[in-house]
Amino acid sequence: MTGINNTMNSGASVESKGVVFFAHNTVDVDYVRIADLSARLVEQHLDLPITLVTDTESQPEHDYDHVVRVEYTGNNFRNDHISKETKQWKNHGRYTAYEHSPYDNTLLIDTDYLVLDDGLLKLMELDYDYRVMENSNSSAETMPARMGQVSLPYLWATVVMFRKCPRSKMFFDFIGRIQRNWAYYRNLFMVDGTSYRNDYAFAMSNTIINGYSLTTKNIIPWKMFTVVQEVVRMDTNLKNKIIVRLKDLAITIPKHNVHIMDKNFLTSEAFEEFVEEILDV
Amino acid sequence: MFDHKEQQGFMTLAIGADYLEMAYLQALSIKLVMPDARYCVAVDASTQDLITDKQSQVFDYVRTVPDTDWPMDREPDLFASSPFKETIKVEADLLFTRNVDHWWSSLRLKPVVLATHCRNLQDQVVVDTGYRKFWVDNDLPNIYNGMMYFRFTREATEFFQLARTLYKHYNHIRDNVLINCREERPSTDVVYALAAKMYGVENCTIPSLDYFNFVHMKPHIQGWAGSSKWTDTVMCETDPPVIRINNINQLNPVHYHVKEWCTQELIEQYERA
Repeated sequence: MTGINNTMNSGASVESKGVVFFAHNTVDVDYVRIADLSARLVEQHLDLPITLVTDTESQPEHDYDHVVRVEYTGNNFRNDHISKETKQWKNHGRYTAYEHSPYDNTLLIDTDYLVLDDGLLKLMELDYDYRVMENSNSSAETMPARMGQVSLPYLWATVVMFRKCPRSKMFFDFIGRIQRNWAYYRNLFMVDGTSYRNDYAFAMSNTIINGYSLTTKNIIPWKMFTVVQEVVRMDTNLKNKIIVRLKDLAITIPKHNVHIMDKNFLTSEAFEEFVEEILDV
Repeated sequence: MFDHKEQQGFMTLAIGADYLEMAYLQALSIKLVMPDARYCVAVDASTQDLITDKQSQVFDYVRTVPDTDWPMDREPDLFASSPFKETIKVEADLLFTRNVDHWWSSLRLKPVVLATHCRNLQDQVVVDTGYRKFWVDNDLPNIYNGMMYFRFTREATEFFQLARTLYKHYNHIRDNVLINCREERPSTDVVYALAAKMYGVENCTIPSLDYFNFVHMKPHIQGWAGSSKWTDTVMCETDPPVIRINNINQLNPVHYHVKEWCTQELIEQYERA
């Protein structure tokens, strides 16, 4: 499958669908391992092919539909809110998802977004060029709603869907432009902090592509659930529910997609056990 | 007393050189998006002497109100001095960014229509803010005097007579009726809220008319902490009639509120547009 051109050339009537993951290992986090485990959840619940975009040295173990090797050139850092440490962050280049995706309809998902239901397939039945997650319910305190104190609301690039079309291409091209000129756009949109963040770049591009307006046209029409705290383990021993055990708290939620921000947990044996349990259910 | 020349038009009160400049900018903005719109400015005698030739070409009508040291006293006089049978009265520091001709047919449903809410720059309706505690304390209707409509009718005449009476007896009302009133002299927001309550809120508002409002650039309405001017807080680009604030194109009239924002450079930009 090679996306829209292939479809046009072949005259195929059914558009291809697939998932794209980005995973660039850092000195602290084995993102490719997280991708390998998340990929199993995607296959189980969405039954879609997965393309992994990764660096030239990583060694993915999952049997991906495609593995796209790119040379990572970015230099970015993030403040880990759990460990309170500054960590390397290889988040550049997400805008290349458009060109790297071999599918006509793509779900671009962060590897820390655990797919535990088939809701995302419903999204693909909607009329769209691209859609981005706007809202997130948090397991803890209310999350900041804006990119800065006097800035605009941001989007969650954690889950993005797009169809190969000129408007989607414009959207992703513009994100690339924002990334390359981050210092300018950061000031233009009054962003607090200096690190490049895809959530912000996607929001900026969406605002500009929509004629400098805030519109729900390109928004995924539901919220995601984000666990921001340190996770000890996740259990599946309740029917149609999952239990996210934190250090001093347990959250029982319906078995639906969940965004886990604790990278240490996602690279742990406990997460692998959780995936095995889910696949066995 | 009444001298109506035309069916409908926009009107503002401009007393003093700064307000005259803002009224001129407003007239330019209105005529840019509604070339057939008519515009009247009400001024006192000393302000009338300041009107330039190029301003005269944009003002379709200039009406004179008696001299005053408190311009808001003259607000109720606009009803009588308007050259239009139907008037949309706006504060001078408010610019239009698109055609609002469709407003007229809805506003005709009432003889007087006061704006009941304003918006932030993200186009969200802001009903209540920290600025409106006084209105809550006194159970006054939440009306915004930045924009109002009136039609020459007996009912509208009663409304403005009532407003004039309230202005006249303001000191007594302030000291004996209102709770926590810290306004030494009468403001239009307070007097018209009182008038609306006495006249009947249902007779002078159309809450369902959700487009008859404006973007108010006071910091609290924008949800910003602190009291810094918006002009010091966020970026603004102008390409008349487009006004883009904080990267959002403003589709509703913009009540810019910070008088210094009306610069000669901005006026020239609108003149060239």
